[in-house]
Amino acid sequence: MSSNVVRDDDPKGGETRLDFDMEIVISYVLITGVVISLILLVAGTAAYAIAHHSLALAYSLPQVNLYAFISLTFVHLFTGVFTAKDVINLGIIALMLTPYVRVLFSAIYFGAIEHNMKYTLFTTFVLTVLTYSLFLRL
Amino acid sequence: MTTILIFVISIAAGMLGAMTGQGGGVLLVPFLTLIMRVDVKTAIAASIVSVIATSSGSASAYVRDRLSNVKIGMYLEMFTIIGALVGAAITLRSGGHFIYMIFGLVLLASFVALWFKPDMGETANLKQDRLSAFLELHGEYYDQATGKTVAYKGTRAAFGGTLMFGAGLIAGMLGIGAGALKVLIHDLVMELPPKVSTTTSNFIIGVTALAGTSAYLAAGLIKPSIAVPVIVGVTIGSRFGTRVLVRLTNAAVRKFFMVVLFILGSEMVLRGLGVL
Repeated sequence: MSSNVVRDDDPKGGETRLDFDMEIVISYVLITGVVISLILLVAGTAAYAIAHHSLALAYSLPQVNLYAFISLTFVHLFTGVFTAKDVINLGIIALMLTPYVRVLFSAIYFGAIEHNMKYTLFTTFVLTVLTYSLFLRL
Repeated sequence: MTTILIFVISIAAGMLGAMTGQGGGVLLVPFLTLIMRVDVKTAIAASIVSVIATSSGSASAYVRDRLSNVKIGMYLEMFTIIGALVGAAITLRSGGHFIYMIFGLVLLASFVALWFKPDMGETANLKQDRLSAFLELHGEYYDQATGKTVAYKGTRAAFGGTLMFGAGLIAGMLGIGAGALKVLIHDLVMELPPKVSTTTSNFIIGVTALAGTSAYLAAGLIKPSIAVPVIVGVTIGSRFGTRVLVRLTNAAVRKFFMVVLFILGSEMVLRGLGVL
């Protein structure tokens, strides 16, 4: 599946051939995020099972937004109280960040590369709503 | 061992979901609540997180094959994410019975919809209203089956967008991908070709699920004991499901799935009424 990277500068024609590159990037962001998440979840569960002699992950997540959740987990990482729970939590965090990073890349692409103001606006809207809901809400 | 049971149930849900193109969530929440007696909101929270995994996994392939239309997806996501947040808020503030009832009705509606499944259009739509043209809702894809490049245009952007809010609402409320509903909207309302409908819907589902997940996370409803085996199980199940799909006949799978939908839908409705 080779593609000629020929720039189509006709504004009415619409899509430049650089579309193809964005799609490859998005594709890798998605699959990488899922794979990292699964590895962390499985590894964390295994470590937990060894430490607690039980597969039942009997702990709760703090009732906080994603920003606080990420901060908490990284504080544990840097202060050395890092446990299996934190690995599992990182897996959940990685999974949640996957679509977010994907939208972020799309925003950068539409804005900086395709210079498509409409879609930069739409993507920024989506990003803003997600950012509020994930990181800012109480 | 509860964790293993949940894991196995999730694999089953993931497989059936992938085999029928309906997504695991639709079966997962009923399985968890009816078989494992998991609290319905916890089940929904676990399910919606797993939807991120399954949708991102498959969307990754479709995007690379240039079947999903990123612009159409992004435009519609504006509506679905608002819907998902509203839906999640509704669930968080509702009583369990109400949620069971809605879930049951959605399952039964899916059963009916499958019964009367419309034939997907064969020829690509090339007519577009002005808003849709302004929004650049068009594209082309290479159809491996016919060996041709198909150009298409999406239309009725305003109506499609509004309906997608509803699809997002259901997704956020019930913890499902609502992919089937989204595909219907893409296909019947926006007149996108089937391969673009399904793949773009898939693409949208992940971001929509993330919006919903954010609400359930903040509410403290994501319980690792349920969510982790679910995420891993459903992802594995859907991977196997797509492989097995090739070997079974479409009609047999569809019939089996319809029976399951009917049974689960009825049980959920009965729960909602307080009978079960």
